Amino acid sequence: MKDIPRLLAVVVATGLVIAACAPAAPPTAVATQAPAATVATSPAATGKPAEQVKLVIWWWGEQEAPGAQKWLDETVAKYTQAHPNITFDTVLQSTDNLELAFQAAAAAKQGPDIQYFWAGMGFLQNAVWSGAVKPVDDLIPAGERAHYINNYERTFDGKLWGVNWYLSGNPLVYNPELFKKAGLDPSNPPKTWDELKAACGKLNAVGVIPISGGLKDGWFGGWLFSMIARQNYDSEKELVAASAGAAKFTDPKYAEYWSRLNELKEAGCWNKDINSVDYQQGQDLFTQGKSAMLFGNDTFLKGFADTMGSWDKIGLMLVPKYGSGKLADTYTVTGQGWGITSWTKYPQEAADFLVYMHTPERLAAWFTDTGVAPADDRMDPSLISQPQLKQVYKWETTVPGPNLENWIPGIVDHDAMMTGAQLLFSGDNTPAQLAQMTEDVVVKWRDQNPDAVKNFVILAK
Amino acid sequence: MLLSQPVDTMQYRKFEPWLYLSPALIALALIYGYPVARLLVLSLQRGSGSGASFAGISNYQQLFKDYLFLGAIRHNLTLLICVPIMIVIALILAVFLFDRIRGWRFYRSTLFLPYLLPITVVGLVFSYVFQLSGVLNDFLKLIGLGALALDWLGSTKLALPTLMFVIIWKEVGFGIVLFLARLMSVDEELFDAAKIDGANWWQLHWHITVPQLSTVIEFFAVISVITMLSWVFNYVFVMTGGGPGNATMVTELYVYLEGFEWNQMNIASSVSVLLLFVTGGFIFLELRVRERLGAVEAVG
Amino acid sequence: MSLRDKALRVLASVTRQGLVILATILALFPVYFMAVSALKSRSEYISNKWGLPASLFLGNFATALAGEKFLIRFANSAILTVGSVGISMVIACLAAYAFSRMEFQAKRSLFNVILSLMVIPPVVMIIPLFVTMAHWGLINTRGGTILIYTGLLLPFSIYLMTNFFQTIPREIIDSARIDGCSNFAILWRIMMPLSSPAVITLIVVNALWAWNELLIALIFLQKDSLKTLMVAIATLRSRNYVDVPVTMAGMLIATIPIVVVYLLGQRYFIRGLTSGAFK
Repeated sequence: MKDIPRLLAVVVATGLVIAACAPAAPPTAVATQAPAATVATSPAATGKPAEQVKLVIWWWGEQEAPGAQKWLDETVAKYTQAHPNITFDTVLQSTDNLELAFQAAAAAKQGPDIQYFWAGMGFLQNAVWSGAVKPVDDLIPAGERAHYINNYERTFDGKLWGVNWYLSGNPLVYNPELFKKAGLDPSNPPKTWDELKAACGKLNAVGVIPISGGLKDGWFGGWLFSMIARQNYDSEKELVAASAGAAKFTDPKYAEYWSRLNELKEAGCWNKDINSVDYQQGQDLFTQGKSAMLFGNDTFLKGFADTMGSWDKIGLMLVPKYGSGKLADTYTVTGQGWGITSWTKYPQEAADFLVYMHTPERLAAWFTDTGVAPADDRMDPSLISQPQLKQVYKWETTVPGPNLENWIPGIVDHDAMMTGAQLLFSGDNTPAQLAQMTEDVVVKWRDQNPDAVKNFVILAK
Repeated sequence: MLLSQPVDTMQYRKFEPWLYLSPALIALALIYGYPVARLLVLSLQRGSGSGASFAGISNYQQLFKDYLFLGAIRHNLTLLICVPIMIVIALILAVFLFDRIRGWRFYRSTLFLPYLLPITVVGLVFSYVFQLSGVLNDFLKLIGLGALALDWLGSTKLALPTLMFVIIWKEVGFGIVLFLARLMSVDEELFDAAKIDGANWWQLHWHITVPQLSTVIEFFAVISVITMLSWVFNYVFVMTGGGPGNATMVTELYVYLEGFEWNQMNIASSVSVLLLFVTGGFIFLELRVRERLGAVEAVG
Repeated sequence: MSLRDKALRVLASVTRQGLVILATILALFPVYFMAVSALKSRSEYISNKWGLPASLFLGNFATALAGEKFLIRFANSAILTVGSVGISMVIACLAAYAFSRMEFQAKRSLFNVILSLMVIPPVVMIIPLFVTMAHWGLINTRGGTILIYTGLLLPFSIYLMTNFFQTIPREIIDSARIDGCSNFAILWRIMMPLSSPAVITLIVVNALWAWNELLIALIFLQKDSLKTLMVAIATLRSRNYVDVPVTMAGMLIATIPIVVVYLLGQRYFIRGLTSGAFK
């Protein structure tokens, strides 16, 4: 029959097209560039001729600390000058695919040599416990490591698994001018919980939204938990232990958070539409001068000043106290940083590059480029001229405290903290019910994840 | 559609169908083969990779104890209500355009526009429309209907219906164009004959239009049902993130959260497998029912 | 015709027109919002979300376009779309021919299975797909991603084409056979031309999907020279902040090609959709 050959031709043609369109991609690790250096300094003091090295870096951060891209490009350029046998490939990830891409890479054991990680459960689960990153203890000397800030966020089972890059902290930002308008002392913001509630009353009286926020996109609920619930704890380990079963989330120490949040709601402290707007819209209310306080992030401060026109409209305070745990006086700060993948061919070279990032010149350049504090205590504080940023750096180096969101299972963060905040503000649940809900979610997590619970027990030590 | 309808008197060698099928089978095997196999395997395990252990159906049992999952299923089923609504709206608008009301060509272009827009844009815009202090409520207050200015996205009871509105808004354009196109290829004589017989607008469309469109309606219905079950992730992700208070959690979002945020790939795989079988069953039934009803595509 | 009838007629006509106008306003509103926001600076946007811009601020387009890279991104999106839609179309028509016009063992079950694949959320496919693609060295290649898109488009395409092929009357095919046409010729010369409505619909739906697709392009095409338009726009989004005017400008840039193609091609689109087999 005459159409079989024709049909075969179509099939074969299709197959050929598919095959032709798929040239073999070069494997990611080995570079084929850059002539061998004649004047090169070899990266490690081993005396052998420098081999061609390619390091692939998947990173994030330009979105949070604008200027990061510029700094990274500069850092890479300088390092390559000093080490011509090393080439870099840096790929900026999108917020939505940072973790997904890494999980895919880890499954295929192919991709980046150096990976950016937010701190928290995502890092522990996807990088440390799954064996996707190497500890850096053997790659970076202890004396050097001691200068990095917030190492405890990257420590597990006695080893350090990541190198922090910059700090992201959460102050309670306020507008001194609006404070004055309401009859509050702008240089003396509320220090106790009752003072905060009273301030809300005064601000409402002059038509100013006391605190603005947005819960629709969910994650602000997690921030609220981090910043407000901390006051009853002495250490984040108490939370970890509770998740592992050592205590119940309906115990007063843990449940008080919900009643406190409810008090703020009852005192009329928030914008009425908090449940139907995203966090950023709540933030916009602050930068437009419509609200007086904002649970914010210190990487945005420079942007606020630009939008509002002046640094005078920005004041910072720690969250007013109701509790007396050790964490109540601390500044919530987390370190964003790097990990070295377990499948990389060049772990020492990768580590050396990370160390280079922490040299004083690079630290200073980072601050100049982004206005964000690097995660290293060797930065020269005199570089900081803005009093507000000085205050931030002081808090970050003298009273840093854990970001509690990073120490609870992801599902608890989402289903209890984020969802709970939404339900509180929509009026669907009482604080007591929400405390119970939190406990229910934790129990469910324990049922579904016996292996993770074991890790949590280790973490809680 | 009748797969068991007696085929034409075609002559072909026994292997010939497979020849025509082979490119499809190869491509599908390449892309779906390993992932589906892995899904099935993971759904029966605890942990993955080297640390995996056989867990039988315990993942599935966990699923049905999980209020979050059950809520997701409930919400997906609620979304199915959109399908008849979409069909009716698309039919009505298609018929209006077919009636060649003034400016119909212009409307035809504009009504399809929502379908062209990326969901991210649509989601973002409607987020702003529906928020408590958003455009819709401002407008309602303006015309004196302030009592109706509700918290469309922030209330646990209203969020899902609001989402449904947006989904309908975007997907209905496809139906309109489908129906209109099919209508325009229906024999004019049918309509003329009916009009001569004195049929009014309603009778005309009920007795002629709808039957003529039955295959297209069925097709649109099936695709819409699958959309409501499996292709609404982007809407939810952009507009509500599953909230408030998990009031708009859907199965795809559940899979995403379980698999990638909470590192429980086994549970996520179980959901996917479940979806696969449920839809497979649904399609199977649908095909069978069609055959039983002996429906034949009306043509010409 | 009595006055009452005339009045009713007018009322009906006005209602019809009114409903359609309402539908159109609803449909066009987001486009208005996109356009208007893209032309505002960030601070202007924050204070005035809905109104017309005070002046035409073009800075957002510059940010979103990121210089000459725009053309590369555009080309990448186009290559992926054309490639995957074209290939999947060919494969789907061949398969649909077999399903709709031939008998073979396990036909029903196979069809059932293929359709069910439509339901799998692409999200769960990402990791295993990455592993297989890495194994074949297809990460960061256009061909690899085209292959993925083609696979994902097939179930729906096969469904639609099979559905349509079945509506072609037996008589036409029988008469072609009597004229001595081979099976393949029947497909190529008779069924395909008659199927232009379905083909065009499929092209439109698939092309929209491929053009707007984000997740897979993000993960499988990380090399800067390979990034698509949607990916470039998505990267603008921060963890906690969406710069709406810039995002809208980016969206406009990404959507305008489609809209232009649609408006220009509309005539052919409609003509194709309505070239009936049925007169």
